[in-house]
Amino acid sequence: MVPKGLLIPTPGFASAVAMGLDAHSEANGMGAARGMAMRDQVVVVTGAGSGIGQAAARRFAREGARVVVNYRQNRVGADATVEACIAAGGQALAHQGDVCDDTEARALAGAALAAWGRIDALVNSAGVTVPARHDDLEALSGADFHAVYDVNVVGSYQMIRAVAPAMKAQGRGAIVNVSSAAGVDGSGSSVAYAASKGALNTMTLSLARALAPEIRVNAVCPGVLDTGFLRGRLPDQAIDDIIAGVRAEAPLRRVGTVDDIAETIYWLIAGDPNLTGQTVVSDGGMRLKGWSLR
Amino acid sequence: MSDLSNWVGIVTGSAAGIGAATARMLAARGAKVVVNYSKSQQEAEETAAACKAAGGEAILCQADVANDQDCRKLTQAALDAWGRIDGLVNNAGTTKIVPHQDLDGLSAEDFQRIYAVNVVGPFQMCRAVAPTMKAQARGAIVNISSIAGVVGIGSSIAYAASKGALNTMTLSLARTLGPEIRVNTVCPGFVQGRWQQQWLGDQYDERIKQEEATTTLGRAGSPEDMAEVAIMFLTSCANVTGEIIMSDSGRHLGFAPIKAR
Repeated sequence: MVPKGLLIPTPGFASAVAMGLDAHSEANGMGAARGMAMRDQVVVVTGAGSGIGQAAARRFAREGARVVVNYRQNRVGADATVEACIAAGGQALAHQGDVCDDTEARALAGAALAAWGRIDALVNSAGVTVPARHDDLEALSGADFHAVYDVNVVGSYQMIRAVAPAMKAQGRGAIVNVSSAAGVDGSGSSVAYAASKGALNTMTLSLARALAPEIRVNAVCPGVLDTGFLRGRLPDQAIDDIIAGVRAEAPLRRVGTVDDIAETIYWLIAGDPNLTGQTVVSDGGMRLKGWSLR
Repeated sequence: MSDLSNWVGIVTGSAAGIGAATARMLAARGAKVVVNYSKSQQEAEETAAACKAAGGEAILCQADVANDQDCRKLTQAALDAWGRIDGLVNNAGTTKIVPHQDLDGLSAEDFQRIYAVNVVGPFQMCRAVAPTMKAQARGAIVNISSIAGVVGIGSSIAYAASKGALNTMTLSLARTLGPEIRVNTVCPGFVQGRWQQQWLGDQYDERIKQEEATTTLGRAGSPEDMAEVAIMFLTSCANVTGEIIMSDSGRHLGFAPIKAR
């Protein structure tokens, strides 16, 4: 429907608008949405048994997407995610696999192709940390650095490599790495965690460059969230104190939720088709602080 | 000039390249330097000799920074020789040359091997020297990173990722080791020398010409250029920590048009 009073520069544009398609989007094989309409699109989400991965899976399912819900150990969580996706209006299946194992990463991509014949999006949400006070350098070992790097960076790389051929053959795909504000400013649950997320942010640039033009690669960098990621790794009181501090101090006076981050992930995949190699920090504005005495 | 005659530093991976240049230029100002190498013993001996000839003092210490015990040993070597450590240059680094579009060209082992030297090594060295520097109430650490860490280019995706990690770790360590210890980082762009010669082979000379033709400053960086920035961070800049400086002939500003000759 062409709104009254809209200036129509060319006949071609008019017919494109009348068809409900943007001429540019159509040329790129995109649907009615500015970027990627998600109905029936196949999204692989790693670490989707909980937290951000679970929220992202639900978000895409709400748009009618078909979601591969990956988990490593959290079968119960993955099953809950599948149920939630179906209830939200999408399709979903659970697939066990450790992204650190290249064979399993490739099998995860294979599962998406076997079920639905395509892969449109990948969300690298599987991530780990070893918590350690930054001022206690002896609390981290070299093995800790490597263990965190293995999941957060190597796992993400192996998953991207596993899905890239299908996306390239389709002529289109979008990938989001779930990183962290820790990668941007060196904060976070440990020096090793921050370093791994810094690596992931840089790798987002490398892969955005290498996989263009068909595949866009971006990252979301959450600040502090109240998720199970820290609960179970740090004492509850410590986490409660951090959460309360952020709620009081963040410019937006709130603590982010997994659904907030899922919204950014959704937008990075389905929104702006001209966006690649970006790291979007979603932290309630905490990065703006520190420049004044208050 | 011997304004550094009471200054002691460790330069990891200083057998050749940026590390050797840094050691020599520190020694030229009278500094005492631990020349570290992992495998290149003969070149390390040449560097140590050059340090002494330049007017400083030098000892050799073999150590693989990926190994924490070696890091402790390297630190102790400085303390045994001169009783203090004023500066640490984390220069030791490694890579694998893999075109970025060849995703199958990198394995998990490649990622981890590179991470061990380029990130875990610097962490372990910082940890080893920190107590001494804190007790002195003074110390400076410089990481030799790469613009690969900033923009994701470079010899491989795994190399760039490791340097991104090192850049972020600079911020973490600068924050926690202050106020006594400053931690900063140099990100070289193109650097003339063995690494690039290995990577480019017979295209090396042409690449030098390209650097001169297409960078804002019209020059191909040298190990001495990088050493100069490292030494600036080590010996001055009392108000600077957590900083990451690119030394890339202005490459990050974008390619300059090829100038008509």
